[in-house]
Amino acid sequence: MSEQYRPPDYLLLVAVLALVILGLDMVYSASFVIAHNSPLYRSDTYFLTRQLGWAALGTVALLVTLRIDYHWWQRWSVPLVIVVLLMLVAVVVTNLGHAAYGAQRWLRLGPLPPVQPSEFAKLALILYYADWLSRRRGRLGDFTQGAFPFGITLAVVSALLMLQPDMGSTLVIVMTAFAVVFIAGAPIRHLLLGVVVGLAGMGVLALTAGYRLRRILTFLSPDVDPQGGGWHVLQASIALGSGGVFGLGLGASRQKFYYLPSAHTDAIFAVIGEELGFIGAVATLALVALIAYRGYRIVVHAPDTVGALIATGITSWLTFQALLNVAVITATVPFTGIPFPFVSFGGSSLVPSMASVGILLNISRHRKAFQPERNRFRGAEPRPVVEYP
Amino acid sequence: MAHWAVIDQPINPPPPPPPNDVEARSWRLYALHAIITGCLIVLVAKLFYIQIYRHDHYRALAAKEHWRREIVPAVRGALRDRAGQPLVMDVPFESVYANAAQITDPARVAAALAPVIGEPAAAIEEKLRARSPAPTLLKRQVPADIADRIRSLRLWDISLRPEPSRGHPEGDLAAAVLGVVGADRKGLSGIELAFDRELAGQPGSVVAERDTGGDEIAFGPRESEAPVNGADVVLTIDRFIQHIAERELAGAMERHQAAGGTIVVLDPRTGAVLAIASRPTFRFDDPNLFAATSVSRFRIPAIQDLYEPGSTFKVITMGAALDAQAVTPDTTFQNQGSLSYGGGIVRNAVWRPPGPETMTQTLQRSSNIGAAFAATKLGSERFYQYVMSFGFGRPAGIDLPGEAAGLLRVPGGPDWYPFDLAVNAFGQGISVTPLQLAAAVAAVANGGTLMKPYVVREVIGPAERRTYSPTIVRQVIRADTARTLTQMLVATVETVDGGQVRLSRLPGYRLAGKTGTAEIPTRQGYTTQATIASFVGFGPADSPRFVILVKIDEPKDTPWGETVAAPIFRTLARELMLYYRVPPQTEPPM
Repeated sequence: MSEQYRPPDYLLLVAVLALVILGLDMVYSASFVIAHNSPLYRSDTYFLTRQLGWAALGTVALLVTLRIDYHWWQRWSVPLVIVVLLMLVAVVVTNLGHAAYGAQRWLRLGPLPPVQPSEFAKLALILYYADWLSRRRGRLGDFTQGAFPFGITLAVVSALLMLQPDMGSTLVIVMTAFAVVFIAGAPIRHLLLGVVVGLAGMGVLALTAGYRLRRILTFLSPDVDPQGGGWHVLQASIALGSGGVFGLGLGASRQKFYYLPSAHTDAIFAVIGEELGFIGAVATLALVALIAYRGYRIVVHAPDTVGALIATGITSWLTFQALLNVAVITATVPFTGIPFPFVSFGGSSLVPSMASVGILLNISRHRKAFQPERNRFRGAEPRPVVEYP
Repeated sequence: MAHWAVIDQPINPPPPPPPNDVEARSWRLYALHAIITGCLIVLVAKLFYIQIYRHDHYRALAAKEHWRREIVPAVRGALRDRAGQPLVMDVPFESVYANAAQITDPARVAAALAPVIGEPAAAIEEKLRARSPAPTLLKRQVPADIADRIRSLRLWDISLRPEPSRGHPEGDLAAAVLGVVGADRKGLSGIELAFDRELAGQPGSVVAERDTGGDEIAFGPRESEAPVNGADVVLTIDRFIQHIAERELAGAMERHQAAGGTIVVLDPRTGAVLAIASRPTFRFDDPNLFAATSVSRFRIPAIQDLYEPGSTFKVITMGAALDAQAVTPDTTFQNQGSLSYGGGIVRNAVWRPPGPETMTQTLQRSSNIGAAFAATKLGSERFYQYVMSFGFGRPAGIDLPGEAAGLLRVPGGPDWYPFDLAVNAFGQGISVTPLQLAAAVAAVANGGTLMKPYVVREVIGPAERRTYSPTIVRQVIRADTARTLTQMLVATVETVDGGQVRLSRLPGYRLAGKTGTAEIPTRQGYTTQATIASFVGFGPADSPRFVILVKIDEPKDTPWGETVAAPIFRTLARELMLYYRVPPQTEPPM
């Protein structure tokens, strides 16, 4: 049995742990002012201790999922998706939902800390699509068998997320789903149709909500209203820009003194840029690039399609979310709130992310079941060697 | 699930899971790689642009945003009476500001603050909802106890900043002299204006990096400059004398339904102002204090308002005539009921049968003809020399803002006529300020030496202490002339022409003084409808401690200086004798 397993991809693990540790440091740096001053928190380390707890819980989750054979998730992907969909519905329609900053994204269940179901939805949906697509291999060319039902499920989830509303998570989920179905082999014409439908949907959404249109107009002309709509973006740019090459030094951010909204959550990359400079910001992006590189390497070396698709989904999710966050902070795209994976404060983001890394690492432990092309080249028979539990 | 369901059917062995066929479409993976790499390149380029290429631009923006100067107000100096009792002092009020952009629940904050600061919650909430990134002023200058209650609310993003205000421990005492301070803490009238620079001090500042609410960033660099507190100004005004002067003035205003009035009390030996009271005046706590229509209330009528002194001016005329030896107290002339001079006819206010009249009787009877006789004996050149020497026609030089010079027409001037000499002699056709006349009479009390009136005794700053000493202006009349004139004025205070006892008489004390009843000039000429009833005098006659000028404008019940102003003079004189512990010197002659 043991010879069929390899050690997990330690380089990926190192990259993830480096981001988690960077996150702990930056969360403390970015939050201690608010935590110290506010009568709600009354302690410098309010956010740090909580993030430490989430990191511990995330580590446990990672170690557990690392040990669960990833095929086990196939059995549970449908129930998981149903649970997540129910949670998403509950957030929007029941009084269990908990609003903050003008959007209803949190679910409060008894004494537990409130959770953001959208973060769990990303993982559940990846597992579901990977299972679904791997079983429909060869039938994806048929529009009614592949693209259509796929598009319907994705539209339902997107609609639930946009009811909160949560544009950032919707974008990440849609882009991740496209990456999975693209790698799964969907016809390009179906994908292009999906892109057209998606862009049309975004256009409708942008025009129907005043604040989204304002965000786009602010993005196009950021200097019009620096005290109002342009505030977030301008303050993030000031944070990055004043960091320069080497940054102001750890802990020395000035923008975290209430200038930069959500400094310890969605805007934490701006604090990284301010305190650690261009070098620190690029190093952080390099860790993201390393995760992407190792993640897609696992895709190639996965023993079967479902493993490859799960790996594609998880890697794409984490990478896209990080890139979208940085794109927002650098004013490369219009503003939307999205946490930086592993770094931003919050258990709803950190724990599912670390759990999914465990799944990714579990896939990396499996040897490839068989290598038909290479063996065929050598003239040998394909020979399955893996025993499945 | 489907794969494992077939385990129960050994005929069909479980199919192997679908092999990883991604490699068969490896270009798709490459495409994904390419997209991500492209995004990374764009983002790194954007970071380079913001962080390195535009570094100076954003660093300047950050500096502009973070570095702010906060002014640390200096304590404005106190105004004290001659004994050091505070009349005006800074009270450490605090103003309530909100960091509205950070407040997430304006309704709750407004509801909590409303009862404490006494503003409607809706108005507060409206201010908060503006979400201004600059501090929003919610309430200006709340007292310390309110400020403590606000602090105890522990409202996040509500801050208090010291904005001291002027407090008046003695209420509205001497309000016009003390003056008012504007919202910008600059003196606008009175001593607050005249000594604004000394009182203001030098505000300090702290230049530091600050958060959006204006609080300093703890680890940021800072440059601070400590404020230099303002100097205290010690006045010559005596709190007690000022108080009784205002009390008597207010009483007279009510008794006689008067339009206004002024009482000036001077120390004749130094020229120090002991009290200046005027009506109408203003109240410091008047909510409409700074309404545009009320600006004129900040005047100090005792130094800024002109009036015709009437018979009180005969003291000056007689002093001049005596000093020039044109007359003696016993010089007698024949009163024929009127006097023609310079193309005009002088008559007495109250007709008197023709007969001889001494100069002492002229003062006792307040005879216009007698005064005109003395002036004509003196001659216009010498008369006006003496009048100017007594300080008329130019400001007395007090250290208060806006002092008037008075109106004095002299020979050679464009609108002087010889007849003016005869009427100026009894205080018509000449305008003076109450302070000018008080100072001139003080010169008589002071052995003929005119002192410059002053109201500020000392300026005590943190670094230096400046003392103002009495200033001699000039010797106006000889000391023996002053003594002679004083005796004549004592006789005037005591009786009417050696007969009827006067209301100004104070048993046990020798006082000197003269009444005045002046008709108020209007465009149509002098009107008998409205008069200014006045009295000027001093005491004790042999070693004067005080000069009192009482002037009541337009008393309704009785027009005479004798009936309106003289009783006030006597009341004040009695209080001052007691205050100065002057023992009674003469037995009442009754």
